[in-house]
Amino acid sequence: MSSSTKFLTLKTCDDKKFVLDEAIAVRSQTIKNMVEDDCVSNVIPLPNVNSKTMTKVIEYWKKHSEEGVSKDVLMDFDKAFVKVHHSILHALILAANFLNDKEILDMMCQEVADRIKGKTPEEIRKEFDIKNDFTPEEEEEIRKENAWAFE
Amino acid sequence: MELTNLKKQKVTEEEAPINKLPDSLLVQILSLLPTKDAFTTCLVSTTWRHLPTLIHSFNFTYREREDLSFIHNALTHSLSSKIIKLQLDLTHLRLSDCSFRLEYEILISRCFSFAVESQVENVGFRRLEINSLKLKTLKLKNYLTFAGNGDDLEILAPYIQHLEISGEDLKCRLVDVSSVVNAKLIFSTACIRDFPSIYGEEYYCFHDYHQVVYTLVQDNLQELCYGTDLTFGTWFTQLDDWSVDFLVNSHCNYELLDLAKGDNMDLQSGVSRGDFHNLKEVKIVISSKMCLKNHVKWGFEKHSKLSEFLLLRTPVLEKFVIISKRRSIWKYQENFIISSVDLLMHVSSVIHAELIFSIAFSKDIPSFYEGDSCRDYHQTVYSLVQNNLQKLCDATELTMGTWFTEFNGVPVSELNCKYLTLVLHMKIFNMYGVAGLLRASPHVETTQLDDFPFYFLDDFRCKSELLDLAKGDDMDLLSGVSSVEYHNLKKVKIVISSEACLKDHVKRGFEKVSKLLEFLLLNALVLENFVIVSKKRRCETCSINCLSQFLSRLADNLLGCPRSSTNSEIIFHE
Repeated sequence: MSSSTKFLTLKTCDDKKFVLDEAIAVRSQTIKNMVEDDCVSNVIPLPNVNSKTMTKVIEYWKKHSEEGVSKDVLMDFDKAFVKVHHSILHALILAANFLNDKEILDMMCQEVADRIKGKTPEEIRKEFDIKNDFTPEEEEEIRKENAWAFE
Repeated sequence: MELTNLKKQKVTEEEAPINKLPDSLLVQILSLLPTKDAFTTCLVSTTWRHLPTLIHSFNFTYREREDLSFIHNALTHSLSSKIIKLQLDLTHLRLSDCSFRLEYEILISRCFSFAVESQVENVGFRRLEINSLKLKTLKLKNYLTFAGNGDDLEILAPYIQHLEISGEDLKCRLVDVSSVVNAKLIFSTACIRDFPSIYGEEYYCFHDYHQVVYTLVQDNLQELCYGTDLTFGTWFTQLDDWSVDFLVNSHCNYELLDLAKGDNMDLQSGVSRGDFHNLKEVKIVISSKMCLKNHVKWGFEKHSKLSEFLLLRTPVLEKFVIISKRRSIWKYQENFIISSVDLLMHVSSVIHAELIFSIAFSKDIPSFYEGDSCRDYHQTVYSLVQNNLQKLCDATELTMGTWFTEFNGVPVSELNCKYLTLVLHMKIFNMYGVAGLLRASPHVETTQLDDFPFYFLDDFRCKSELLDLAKGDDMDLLSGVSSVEYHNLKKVKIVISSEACLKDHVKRGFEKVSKLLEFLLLNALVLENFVIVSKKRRCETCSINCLSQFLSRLADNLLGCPRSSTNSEIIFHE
């Protein structure tokens, strides 16, 4: 550990501030680029991320930056981390995309994919609270068009 | 376009959060799914309708006959401009009843042509059975590893003739490739890097794992024992592209220990049952950019063990090529190469030998050979070269690099070589060597001197060698060889492709060249063609046309000198 730990202040869209060790914050490629380009003043604004989501992201970053954590512990942590309501999944995907953190993004996308896997369209709608906005005619048309995809 | 319009029309307040994700992210998510599941989602809502056709990765699993047409359609409907992955799991496929062999063949060639057309970055198959008589070539680039245990890829392709597989950390089992004549298998087995977690970190597990890998390698080698042209990657050993970075990146300490303990011996004894009855060419390419300094010993051990093995197991070997792609010669590389040359001691039946490498003899001489020891060093090289030439005395076609010129007129048994090509791309070479070699090859029919160096005295650092040359080199050249007459030599071709300016070196280089040519003219009794070709048009360095000056002087000299053959013609190409 270096004695001169640098801290960054991140400001989310709802005006909450997070003070974070720079070494941890640069897990975000976006923040890393800002730091490297020296365009960091005191506060880094994150206009696309709210404080609730940022708390989750920082929780993940801190856990994965801890020293001496075993692989099993991390795996359990990740498993629990993705077990959230789909609206939070959505927010985390957007945040990870904006922060350019491939690790979180990949994990979240995988989780969404896992929730889709093996389900019928109706089950998928239910899972993600999606409204069926097809008219019955449209639906019939798609079924005909893509008959090969449905057995 | 149509997509966004639709979206806007139907946007409502209660739209699901997931629908608000950008299309690119949704496509990314769908690409993670089994392709069958991905296509199901087009019925979820208008947002999703067209997304499946945009996915960039395909994961197909064959389960039932209907899957064949699904795979075909999914590929046909793909609109993605860039395909990252095409993966096809055929584990469940049993072709024993032959009932849909034809459909299967169509599917496989469909997948292959799709992979080629869309320039798919990663292609993966699990269990591949190809019985088509038409499909002769199988190429799998950047082969993907499937998750899970067991072999990653099984190949049953009895009629395939050309096989090319590349990828990392792949376990590949060639079940039946009995027709393969041309195989290129470049991948590294996983025991070296990124060790699979299923094997844990315990010592004994490593051992099991190694056993698995060895058995695989052994089986694969046996399958390929009738190939005539083989290129291997890391999985076999580091024949192509050196093992240096493998040792550096190794996470597996046990593997390192194992290697030090003569691991390769096991490998050898394990494969000894399979002789390569038709293997005719072995090519070793040193293309690693890494410094060989620290790894010379290990790398060399491995390399030499395997080369030795190949030489012993290949009764009809015709070509053994060692090529160094690295131009500049490093101190340690040269030791390395010298030692490799030693391997040729085992060659007995080589017909066509191509040995293009330079022993950095006079340039960049290792510091520990300074002064007196210079002589010793020379002596070592001489005996090596001499031995090698002796081994090659039955070869009929020889291509040689600068190394051979290091044998300093030492007696050499007669070579039966008929086609002799000398590739002299080093700045320096020893005239004695050329002369001696020519003397030893009275059966030569065609001689070609590529890239004749006209400035070979320039970069000398070794004083004793320099003295040697200054002491009437040219005289020795002629007297040493004068006893030989070439009764078969019909064609002599000299290619000047050097980029260097000839202006400053005309005199010295010219003397040497013309002496040599004079000698050839004098002793070749049935010479028909004497061709001098210049590959370069004009000199970039000097304003005067140094090349044509050089050539015209050469022509003057040659026309004036005595010839043994009455109907020989001298041709200059520019």
